[in-house]
Amino acid sequence: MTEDAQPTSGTATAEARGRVVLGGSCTIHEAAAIKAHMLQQFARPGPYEIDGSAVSRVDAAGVQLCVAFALDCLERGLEFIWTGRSQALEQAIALLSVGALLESPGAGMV
Amino acid sequence: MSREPAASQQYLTFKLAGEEYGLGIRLVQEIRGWSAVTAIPHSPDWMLGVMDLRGVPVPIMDLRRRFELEPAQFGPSTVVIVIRVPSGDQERTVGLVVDAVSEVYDINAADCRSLPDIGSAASSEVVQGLAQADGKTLILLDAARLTANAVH
Amino acid sequence: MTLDLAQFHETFFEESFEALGSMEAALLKLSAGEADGELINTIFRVAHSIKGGSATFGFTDVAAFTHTLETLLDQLRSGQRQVQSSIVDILLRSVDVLREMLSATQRKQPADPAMAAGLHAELQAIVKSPTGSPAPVVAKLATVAPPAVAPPGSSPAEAIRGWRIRLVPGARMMEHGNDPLRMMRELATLGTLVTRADAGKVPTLAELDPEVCLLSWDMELRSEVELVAVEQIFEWAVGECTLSIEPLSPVDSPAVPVPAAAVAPALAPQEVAAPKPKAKAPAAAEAARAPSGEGGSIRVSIEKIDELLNSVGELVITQSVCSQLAATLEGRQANDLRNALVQFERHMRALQESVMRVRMLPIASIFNRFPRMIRDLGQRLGKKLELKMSGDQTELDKTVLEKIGDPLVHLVRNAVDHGIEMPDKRRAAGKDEQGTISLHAYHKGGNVIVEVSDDGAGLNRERILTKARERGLVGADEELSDDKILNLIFAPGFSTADVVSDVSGRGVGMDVVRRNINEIGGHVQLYSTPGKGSMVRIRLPLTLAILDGQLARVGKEIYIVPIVSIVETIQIRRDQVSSLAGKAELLRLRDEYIPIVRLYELFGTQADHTDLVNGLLMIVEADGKRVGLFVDELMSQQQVVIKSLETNFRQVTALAGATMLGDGHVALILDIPGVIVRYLDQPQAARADLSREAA
Repeated sequence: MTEDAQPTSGTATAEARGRVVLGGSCTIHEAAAIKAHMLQQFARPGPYEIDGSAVSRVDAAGVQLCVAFALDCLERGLEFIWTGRSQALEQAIALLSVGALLESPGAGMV
Repeated sequence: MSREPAASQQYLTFKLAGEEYGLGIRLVQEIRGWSAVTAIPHSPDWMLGVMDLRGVPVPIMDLRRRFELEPAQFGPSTVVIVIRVPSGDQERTVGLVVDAVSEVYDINAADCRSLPDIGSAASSEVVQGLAQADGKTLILLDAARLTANAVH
Repeated sequence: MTLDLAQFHETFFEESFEALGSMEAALLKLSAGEADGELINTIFRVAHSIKGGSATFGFTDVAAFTHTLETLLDQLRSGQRQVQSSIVDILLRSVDVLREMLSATQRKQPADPAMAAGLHAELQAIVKSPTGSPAPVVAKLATVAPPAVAPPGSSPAEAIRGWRIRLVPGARMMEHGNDPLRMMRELATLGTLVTRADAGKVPTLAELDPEVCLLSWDMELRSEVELVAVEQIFEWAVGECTLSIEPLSPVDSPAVPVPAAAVAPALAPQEVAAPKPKAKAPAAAEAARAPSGEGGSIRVSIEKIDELLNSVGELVITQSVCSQLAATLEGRQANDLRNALVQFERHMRALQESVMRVRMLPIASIFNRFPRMIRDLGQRLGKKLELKMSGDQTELDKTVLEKIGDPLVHLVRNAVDHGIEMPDKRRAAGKDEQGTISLHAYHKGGNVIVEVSDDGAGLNRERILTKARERGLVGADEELSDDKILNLIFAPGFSTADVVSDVSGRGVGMDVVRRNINEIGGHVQLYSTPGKGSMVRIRLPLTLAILDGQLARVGKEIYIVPIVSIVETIQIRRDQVSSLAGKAELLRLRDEYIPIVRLYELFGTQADHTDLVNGLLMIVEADGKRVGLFVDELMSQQQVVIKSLETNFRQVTALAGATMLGDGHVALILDIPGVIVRYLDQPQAARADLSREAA
């Protein structure tokens, strides 16, 4: 999906863009907090950044949130990019086989 | 009542205040020099405390004090004989402070005599018997009795 | 060729007890109304495997009993007979009888023949009774068709061996500690795993309940492993998800069905000639589970683990000695050495933690006894009960685990007996007739927390106070804070009175519960809201063997005070100290009076400071009591390995053990409740002298 669903950051500065930062622990214990964080970032304009480079503990609930986030972007025609994925997160994504769902639409990985 | 020792047993002998004592060699785990001992509160004076033996706290008994003899100074030449004694279905490890270690002797059961009645002295109830070796009198100790009394 | 099978007995018993546990859990689910073919299969497999193993070892009474059990279960499994609650009841009783029989056999004692005979006869009667359905049917129950009855000798060599697995997590599955990611990780160790995820049910982020997994997966596992190896991975999630496991190709299965405990195949005579690993019991269990040689787990004796832990402990001490020595060196090389040692220490800590974790087991093994207990209690007392559990995968050190079982059982019984009201009372109070007992376990701040709560009547403060006054524990006019009133429950002898509910019955000793928990280094706290319910929160150390300690120096001696007992440390001001002539020295701190314990006095050693204002006071707490320990100086905080004094010496009041400090010096670890007892035992004279000395 590479259509310009939104103007690029002409008016919005880089800081105002939504940026989801996943912490070291991305599991069911933090799931509610991560969801709140994601929703908060969605309130800001895109394209969004999602940073998973710090993730060391992860489970299916954590990955599911990323999937939900990605699906939301897809539905609304918004772009997002991964600015980093830790090895633990990569492994989890591969095992749970959701890599295709989490690919950044259009822009590749930084 | 002293137990009869086995037919022929080896004993490690050590000196204490001019006398020679013996312990069954099978009980002796090692012989060490002196190192720091941590006192355990409210123990008898002959229980010096515990010493670190490869990560395990081992109680150290001062035999001079135990037998109510004149206490000696501890220093680099002090010797500790570490013994392992069966206790119930386990084993206790205890260290004994002595003056010096002597020899290992083969003692025949036939050559052992029980201790004559000398009234109750600090050492009599832990003596297994008396034996002769090399022209000396050896006082053979009952290690189980010696350490059992110590830990209660 | 004759073979001494006795070495395999222990494994058989261990696995059979575990298997009986699964059988019981499955039966409870059946009785709760979940009619699931998979449950019946599980139960059948347990009976089958125990039958096989016991026959192999010549435990004929067990074999005969389980044979009949298996026949009945086969009728249920094939649909020939319907599952009824009377049958579930008799099956549950069979579990109890089997446990007894196995236990007696394990102890090499004769089992009580009458007990088994009666139930056996009942089972046989049911088996022979008319089933109400036509001749034996081969059809399987709907959800899963395990390959157990595939015709032998019909597998073409080229069939792809493996399993097709479909996993649809249930709403509560992840909440209860079952993580699909973990399951897939484990599956991947069994062979080649190809997965397809289905995100169709995942709603928008805003609508998503973050704790419910709505992803589902279709997987193909290419592997030589048997069905049980795959099933084992999903063991804890049974009932919490929809799971189907089918062979990849229709005639994939081996001719002989592999029973749940996987004991029989390992010991079939023809397999003994196979490679060496099978000669040892633990390895035999592993080989039978995963012939391809990957994954699974092995049984290790606890002695081996303790030896390992000990060696690692020694390494930590030696590393610490190296660091100390390096600290005194000069020069640039010394610096490099010091840096290297810092890295070394980090690796050592990681190693130590890994090894400690080897001794850790999930609390599930204890939690699992509660569904049965709640069901039985509810029936007996006529109360409607629901049990909610979470965190059963929370891990504890094996020894802590063993000692927490009884206290938890007491607490759950109390909650049911005295917490939850009778259904009519609950209705009258506007509550749901069904009372809920909750068990939660989780890790927090280096501890394990276990909470037992109920939504019952809560603790009645008035009645507690009245009873306490009756027993002379509290003065007639004394006013107590709410906290203190609740704490009265823990007073010895208090709980034998019926305190908080109308149902007559003995309260089980809360003082015993607290003592048991304190003995393993834990703390108990009670919370209660009248009318709403109560909660007991237990804080446990992760392991018994290691302690976070504060080093404190008194003269030349160093003592270790468990950090978990320390409230605060202060410097004393003269105006804070009062002494009751001949009795005690007290410190006034805010609004309480804390007795001062001069450690040098208590332990008969020398201290640098005898004047209270020149040393420090560590305020510690145990069993709801607080005292201040007077010491010369505080030193570092360290994790110390607790060495028992009892092994070679004896238990000493006030000492919890000893530890080796880096320099080979032995430091004594204080047992705070014991210190308090010792302090209270001190002769008056000694304290009288002290009080003259103090300001």
